[in-house]
Amino acid sequence: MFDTTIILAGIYLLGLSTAQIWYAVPLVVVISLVWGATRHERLTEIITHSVKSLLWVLTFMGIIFALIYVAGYFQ
Amino acid sequence: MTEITFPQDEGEPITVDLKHPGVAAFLAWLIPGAGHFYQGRKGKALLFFICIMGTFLFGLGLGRGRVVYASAKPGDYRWQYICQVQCGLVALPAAAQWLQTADGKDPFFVLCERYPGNYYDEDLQFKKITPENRDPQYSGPTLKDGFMAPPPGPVSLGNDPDVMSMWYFDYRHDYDMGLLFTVVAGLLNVLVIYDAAVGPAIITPLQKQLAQQ
Repeated sequence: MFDTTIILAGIYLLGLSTAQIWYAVPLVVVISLVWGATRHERLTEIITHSVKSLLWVLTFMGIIFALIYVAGYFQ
Repeated sequence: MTEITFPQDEGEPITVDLKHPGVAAFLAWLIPGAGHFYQGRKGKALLFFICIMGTFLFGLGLGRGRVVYASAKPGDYRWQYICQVQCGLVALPAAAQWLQTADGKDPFFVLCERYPGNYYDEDLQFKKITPENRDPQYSGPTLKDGFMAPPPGPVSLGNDPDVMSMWYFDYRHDYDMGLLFTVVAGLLNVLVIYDAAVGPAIITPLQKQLAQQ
């Protein structure tokens, strides 16, 4: 029950502000790849660094998104 | 020829042949990835080319060819172009358009025409001329949007309508996103130029040790 609620809430959140938020995804992927590639020379290390950067940025954005969304209830 | 070697914790040290760093940096600016291709670092060259050109062209498409332009008009100092031009050749048509339109001439590659700001019908001022709203009686000058050209006509400093505000009205958040993508592509290419000139910023075991102390 709790899992279903979280999934539905997630789908609802992703549907909010629709298109604009999705533009961030390719941008974050590209930034992570270029950032990783300028710090390593071997492909495996580039990919590892890029994935770590990608997850870090997405988590950070997710936290900010959640904070702003919750703050909206206290307007 | 410049060769640099990075010792590793495990395995073989990494050696990078930068060839002529100045030439590589110039090529990296001209076409993203070309500097690395010249140095024989073909995998990274392909990665940089796809990432940066893809981002730049996607942004340019989102902004319908209007987000990349050079201008120094009062109220429209286009600082974003300094970032965009770091992508090199692909952003240079904007400089050519700036020179072309500087003395009031029409731009190359006209995308559309607009009614001027003094057109008698206020609802159509600065609006695109389409087959539906074309005024057969009107034979005066029109404003022409050009590919990578600055907005035609005066740019208002306040809230008065002008072509720039019409671009935002026509393309809405696509215009902002297009601007963001092209600026980010240019800034990323600065990292790529640096990588081509001095090699990757690999952290060596010695640097790790020093950082821990």
